[in-house]
Amino acid sequence: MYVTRILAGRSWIPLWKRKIPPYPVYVQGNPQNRIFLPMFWMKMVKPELKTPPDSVQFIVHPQMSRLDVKQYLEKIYKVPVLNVRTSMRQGKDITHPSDGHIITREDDYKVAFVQLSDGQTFEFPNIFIDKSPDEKDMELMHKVEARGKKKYERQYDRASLPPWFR
Amino acid sequence: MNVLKLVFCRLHNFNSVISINNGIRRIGQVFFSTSQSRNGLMEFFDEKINWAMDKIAVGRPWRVDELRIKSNEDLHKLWYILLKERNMLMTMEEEYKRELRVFPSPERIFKVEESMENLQQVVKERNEAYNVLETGTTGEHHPRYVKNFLGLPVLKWPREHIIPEYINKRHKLLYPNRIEKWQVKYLKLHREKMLLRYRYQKYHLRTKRIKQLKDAFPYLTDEFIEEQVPEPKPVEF
Repeated sequence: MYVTRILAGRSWIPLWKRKIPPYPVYVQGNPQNRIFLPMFWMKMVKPELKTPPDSVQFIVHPQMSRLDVKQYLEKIYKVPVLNVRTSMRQGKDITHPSDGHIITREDDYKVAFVQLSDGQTFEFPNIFIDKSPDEKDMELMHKVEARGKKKYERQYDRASLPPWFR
Repeated sequence: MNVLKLVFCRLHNFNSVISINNGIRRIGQVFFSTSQSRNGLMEFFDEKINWAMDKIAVGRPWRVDELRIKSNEDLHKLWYILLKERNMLMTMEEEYKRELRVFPSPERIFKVEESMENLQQVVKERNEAYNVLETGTTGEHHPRYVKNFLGLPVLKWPREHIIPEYINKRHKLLYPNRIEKWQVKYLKLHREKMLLRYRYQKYHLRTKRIKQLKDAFPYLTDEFIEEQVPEPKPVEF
């Protein structure tokens, strides 16, 4: 009841952006805590710099710890992991297009650098091999240009008149 | 077990097939996918056929009614399928964004998220039903009003603690059970202040309303106005 009342004023938040409830308190001797429906997400990112072949880079849920990342990869994806390092990154500033002052900032995010074990290597695949880059856009541009040229050629003797009077 | 894994691996693409059979799978009907089972980190990427596509056709999200029929085990498996699907879509979207290209069929993410939320709703319903059977309550946590060290009520959400309240020294200092003698004077004054504020608000609203009425309808009599806007009851200290 209270929760619905609190959420009534707010706008809807997507599931991946929502806050995750904390782990229950563990006391020594209790049975192991287990998560049945984890809400964490991870997305792989292409590293900007040259990296060793056994390292992979992710952007992860900001509440995820190093152990979480390791367990996530080992148990859900069955990938052996040697080491994980995480760091929080500040989002980029969004500036005003004409004035140039900072309006807002993008959301902060957590980056995880994963080192694979058992001699495993991974290379980030190139998804855009089959496609020619921006060929369609170029074709469209040429088409529009040609159309404009044709129109101009047809009406070049009336170029001094306003377009609605030609 | 391997067969089962295969079946659930591609289950989310067979939504349409199940809906034709009114949500009931016929006996002996097994869904097999002939595609190779991908493992490892390549699961973060879409199938190679979809890489060069401009538009990818997909089905609708799972509905709550369909999920209610499923067993807990099936829901558990489906959750991980959806989780992997969402991770895959997010990586692909990021990659398209990096290359400054248009991501094909972005509604796929919303569809996966909707089915995930529906699944959570079903699990919540089952939890509540179990709790009501066992304890008579739904097991939801609610905030309660607790008196703090000044004697004023504060809204407090329950939190899990290793040390219980009646032993915890910090909690006992912050939220004592008893009101001290020196606090009584200040609490009285605070109460008086609050009541005065309440009374002022009431009278202020009334005078404002009367002025509005008189401005709009100058021919109204005072008796009629008093009938429309009666005087509030006096607040007792």
